[in-house]
Amino acid sequence: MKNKAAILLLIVTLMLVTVGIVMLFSTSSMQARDKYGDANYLLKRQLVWLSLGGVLCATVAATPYQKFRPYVPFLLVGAGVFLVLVLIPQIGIKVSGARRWLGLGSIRVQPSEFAKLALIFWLAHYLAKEKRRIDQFKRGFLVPMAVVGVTCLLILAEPDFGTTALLGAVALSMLFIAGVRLKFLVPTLLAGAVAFGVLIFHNPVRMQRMLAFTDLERYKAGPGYQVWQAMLAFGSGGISGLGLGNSRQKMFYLPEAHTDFIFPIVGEELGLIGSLVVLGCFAALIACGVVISLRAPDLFGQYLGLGATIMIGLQTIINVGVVTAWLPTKGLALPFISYGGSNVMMNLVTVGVLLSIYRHGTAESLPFEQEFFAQREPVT
Amino acid sequence: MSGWTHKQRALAVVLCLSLSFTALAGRLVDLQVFRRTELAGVAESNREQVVRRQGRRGEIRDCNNNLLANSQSVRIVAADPSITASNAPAIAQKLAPFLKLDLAVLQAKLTGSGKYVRLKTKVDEDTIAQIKALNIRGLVFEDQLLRTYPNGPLASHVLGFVDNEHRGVQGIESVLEQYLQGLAGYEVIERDRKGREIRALRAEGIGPRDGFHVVLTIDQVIQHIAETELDKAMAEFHPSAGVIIVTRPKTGEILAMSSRPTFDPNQPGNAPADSRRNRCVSDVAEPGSTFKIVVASGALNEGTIRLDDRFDCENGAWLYGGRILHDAHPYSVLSVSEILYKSSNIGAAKIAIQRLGAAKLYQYIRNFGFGRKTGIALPGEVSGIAHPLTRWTPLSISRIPMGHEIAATPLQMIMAVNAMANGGRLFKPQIIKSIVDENNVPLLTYPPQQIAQPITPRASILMAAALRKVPAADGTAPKAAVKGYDAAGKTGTAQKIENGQYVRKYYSSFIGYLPAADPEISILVSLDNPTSGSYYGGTVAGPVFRGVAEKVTQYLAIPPQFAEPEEKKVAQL
Repeated sequence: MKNKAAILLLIVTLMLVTVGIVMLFSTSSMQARDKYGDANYLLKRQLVWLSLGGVLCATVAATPYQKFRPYVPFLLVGAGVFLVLVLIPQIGIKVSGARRWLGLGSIRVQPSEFAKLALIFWLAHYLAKEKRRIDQFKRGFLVPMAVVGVTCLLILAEPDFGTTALLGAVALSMLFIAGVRLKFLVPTLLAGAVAFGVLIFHNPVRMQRMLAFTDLERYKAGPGYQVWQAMLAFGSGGISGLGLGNSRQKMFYLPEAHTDFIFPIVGEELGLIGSLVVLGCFAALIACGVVISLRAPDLFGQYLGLGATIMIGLQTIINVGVVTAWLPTKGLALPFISYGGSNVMMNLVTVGVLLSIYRHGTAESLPFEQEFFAQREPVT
Repeated sequence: MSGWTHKQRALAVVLCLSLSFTALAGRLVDLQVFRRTELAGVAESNREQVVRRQGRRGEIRDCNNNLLANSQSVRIVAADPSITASNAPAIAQKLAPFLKLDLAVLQAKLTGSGKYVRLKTKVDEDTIAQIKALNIRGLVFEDQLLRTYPNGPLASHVLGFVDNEHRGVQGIESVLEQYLQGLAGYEVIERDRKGREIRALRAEGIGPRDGFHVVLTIDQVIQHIAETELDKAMAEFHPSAGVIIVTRPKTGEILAMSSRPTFDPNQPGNAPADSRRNRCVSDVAEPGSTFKIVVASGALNEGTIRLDDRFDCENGAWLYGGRILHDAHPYSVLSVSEILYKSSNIGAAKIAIQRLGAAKLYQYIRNFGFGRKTGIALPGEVSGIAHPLTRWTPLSISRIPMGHEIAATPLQMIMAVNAMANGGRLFKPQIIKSIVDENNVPLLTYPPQQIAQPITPRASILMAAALRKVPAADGTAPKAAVKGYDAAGKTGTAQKIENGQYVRKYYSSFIGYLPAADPEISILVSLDNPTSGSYYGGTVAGPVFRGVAEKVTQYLAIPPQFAEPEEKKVAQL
């Protein structure tokens, strides 16, 4: 079972990456030709990032995940430093109102992508370490929430509401799984939701998006335009799709068709069949991730795997929810498929982490955790 | 929940994820299956566009298929001065070399008032692309069908012109609008959001149908001859207006029809409306002496006179009905022939009174086509005036033979003369030869159409015998004699009427045909109020007739009747 899960994980990852490349070529060639004079411009860049991601994925997979554990605090601090750097106007690169990128020349990375994984690593480490004191307020709630809170605030300051919400949700899920008391978690969740609501209310752009979300028909020419066009793309695709490369909506009707809104083009070109296959791939990936995580020999591995899996799962759900008009618009990429270097690279690293958990599940664990898993069946 | 193991809690989270996935899958099914028709329809209507494609307007050609009017698609560069005014010098500087316009003119246009000013038409695509690359704000590029008349004002009254919507306004353009005008087609095209057509996705459509071409009976060479001679006459005699019509008597085809003042159909707005009127069909005048041939041919046809019957012309003054009738030159006794070629009013009146009678005269007037439209395919034709017998006064029968109390268009006059020339057959004047499609396959052809036979061929021959003496030494128009040709004709010098009074202004006209025995062409020259010296038809219109006839006979290679040496003999006749 566990063996098969790893192979399946690899297969669905490859499938998603392949669909991503094909769809990226289909959606970006026109815009790239218009903008850069080379239809393959965006594709080439993405392939570079994918290759890099592939190498990192293999490296991480080949490395026992426990080896990362001593460096987890440094990872987190490093991520924090980058998140602060990106906020400094002279350093961070601003694109359409949000300062999210660090860059050298034409190479740009999103520190928040790196921070997501760093935070998951740290939470897994911390929650596993503090397993016994997890129901305490200070150890079980205050410390991890403080770290999560600071990370989230730094990302929110970019501003990047989508990643903040995603990271918050992933962190709360991990805390919940680790056994942090609900009487701490539920008020936090509610407080976070209220804070988010207030922030949205005070930001005209996001307020408009929210309004558009509540009444798409009315705002379809304005703030709801993109989502409306996404819906039209899904509808145009029907069951069997218009055929690969035949999307009409990508002809500049659907903005960002190659990044956050690539899934509607999948639906338009490949039909319901295609969109469900992609969705199924994500579901399979999550299933594999959960199976591999729960079979991990130590809590750190389990938390780490679950956190990584939940992150990919939630990101998928939010992205698909947004493009099908079930969630208000958030700038979240579809894992593996959307154009964006940091995104695909970190997705592949995440898969690498899961593969590492699978491969090195039998390696040495911390003594108290071995004790905790005394009754665990031997790995066959 | 605190009692749960972390694995159970993990599975709870996973369950939430699974439910979300299931819900999203359901959402996809909803969008892609159940709402498919609705959403796909909206998407389609967003990018699909029905584009009207205008068919090209047909050409107008002369009888030898030379182009007289055609339509071409051109690009127009226009500007919105409200935008360009602020930066006009810089824009003018940039544009001038591309548009090949004078810098100052361009700058003036760019600073003008309003929101639209046309800078240049007929700009080719390459230049348009270069100008577009300059990224100048406030420029407008348009496609437009442009009607061009390559010969400028040539035959402008026949051709007419088109309005801004490319619809015919006057002349053939207006009469044959339904044939010339193309049928618009449509195409369903898909556009990307930037409005560019996605050519690969061009769907259904019906192509436009170009308009049919119209072939006229007009011969552009003869038309040119007529217009050149008319211009010369205008310059020489300074009349206020003038017309020349050249026809083929045997068929009624119009070979040339010109009118002065004229206009350029390429810029119809630049000429006053008065210049755009086709005087050949729209203006009437008393025909004057020319009308004597109606009386004479009627009486000859009836057999009540012979060419050598003699009438006392009363030495130039004859009291009839209480009024004195005058001749321009006093004559004593003249034969019928002489009455015609010397143009005696008294003689003509006596033929009408003594040999024809009012009823018969009126019958011939009507049979020769006066008082009703000729039916030519040109707009604006008028019937002229031929009062019915009931409105004739006792004096009418003495006035009408000399072309008073009656009004005719130049076209009516020449068609009547044609009937006298060609054996008595009155034809409907023909201006359209055929209507052909793009492969020159005729759709409609117009054969000659005889509408009456006012006189017998015999009477026609007798008339020719008398009228061939008009352009001769003894006749009223020796200057109309055409070298080498046996021409026949009749002069006309009609006093103009202004405000019901005869004034000292004249219509000088000459209508002639040649060869007299078997006419190939007939020519009408009429000048309205020549003001330099003579105003007699013979001395003013006669030479113009000769000028046209000499060139047309040469062009049409009509064999001359007389060899060179006999020329003098003819002149002496």
